[in-house]
Amino acid sequence: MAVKFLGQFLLERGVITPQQLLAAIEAQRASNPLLGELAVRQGLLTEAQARRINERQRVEDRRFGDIALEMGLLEPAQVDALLAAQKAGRKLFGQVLVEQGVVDPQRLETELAAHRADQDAANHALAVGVADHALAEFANGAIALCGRLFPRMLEGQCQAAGLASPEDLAALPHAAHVRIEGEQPLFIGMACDRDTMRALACAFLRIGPERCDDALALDGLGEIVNVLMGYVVRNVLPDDVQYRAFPPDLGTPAVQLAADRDRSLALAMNSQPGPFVLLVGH
Amino acid sequence: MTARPTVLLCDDSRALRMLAAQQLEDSGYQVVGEAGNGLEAVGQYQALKPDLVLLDLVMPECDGRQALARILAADPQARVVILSSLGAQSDIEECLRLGARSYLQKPIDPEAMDRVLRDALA
Repeated sequence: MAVKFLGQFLLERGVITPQQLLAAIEAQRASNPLLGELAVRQGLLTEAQARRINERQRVEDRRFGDIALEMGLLEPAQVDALLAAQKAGRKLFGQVLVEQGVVDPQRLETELAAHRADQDAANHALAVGVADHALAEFANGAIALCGRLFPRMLEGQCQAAGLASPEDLAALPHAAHVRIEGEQPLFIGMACDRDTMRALACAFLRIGPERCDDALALDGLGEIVNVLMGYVVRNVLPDDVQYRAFPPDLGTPAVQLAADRDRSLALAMNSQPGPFVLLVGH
Repeated sequence: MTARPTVLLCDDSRALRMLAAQQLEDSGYQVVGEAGNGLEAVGQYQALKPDLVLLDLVMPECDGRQALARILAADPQARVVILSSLGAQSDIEECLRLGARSYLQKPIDPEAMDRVLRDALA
């Protein structure tokens, strides 16, 4: 049991085909513009201005509207109007499937109810699995961080799916982790299969797959983890804490990182680039 | 000073170097060399004498702080900007005290990078 995106859920239940899934995702993306895209369409920002704000978002982990206001590029009333327009025009994934004639409304309601029940059960299992762990706060913070950063840094959604088992980890040949030592030693890592590694790296580097060999992809994975750890350190650790940081480790298997279950947590994550395991520990 | 300021890019991550090099070129800088660790950074600086050095703080085989000290020992006028995603505040402060012109947080915001590098060149 795991938390899944609705599209993945419907695909696995045979309700939609992969082609229908892709078509719906594209249609949804087209009808759910990002705030910057909307501002450009309405002539409130130039493309260059929107790009500048997006770049700052990648670094600062802040909302588009907040950065635009700070830069003096938009007025508060304009941001409010853009948010309202974005919300009014937003289409849910299921809605798109109905509009495309892929499922009828009654079937959609049945599947949504099943998806909700599945999500609730999986979220409960994850919460229970993490709650009593010494790393619960760190793990929940890291999950939330991925949820915020993935859309900005990697142009895709990300959510926790459940706890990863040793068997899950053994099936993931590529892992990168970053550790800090000192007053509060920590490590954070990501483990995934080759396809996800390449997809994550290409999204991070903004290059096509033809320019990304496996070595570069693993390196890119390491840099993503590096960035995550940077945010964790700034958000979690006190400013004056003493620690020593290490470059990303690209050679330690995920199974080894998560071997001590009292000192580590392995969290199965779903993301649009692909599924991966988020590893946290000390 | 050349029309396009020259930059030596020092980071142990090939991925980061690729991303940063593109951002630098797009912003009007010329990347004349790259280094994957602190020792290479020192050697490359002496060979290339770039206008600017972008130097990662956390690297294997001689970290950014040590490389900074060696570069400045050889050339006190070197313009070095520290790159950091993991660097402790104390490490960044130490690098600035040692003589780094500024620092940039990773992932790099191109606009912030351009501002910091132009300030370093001034």
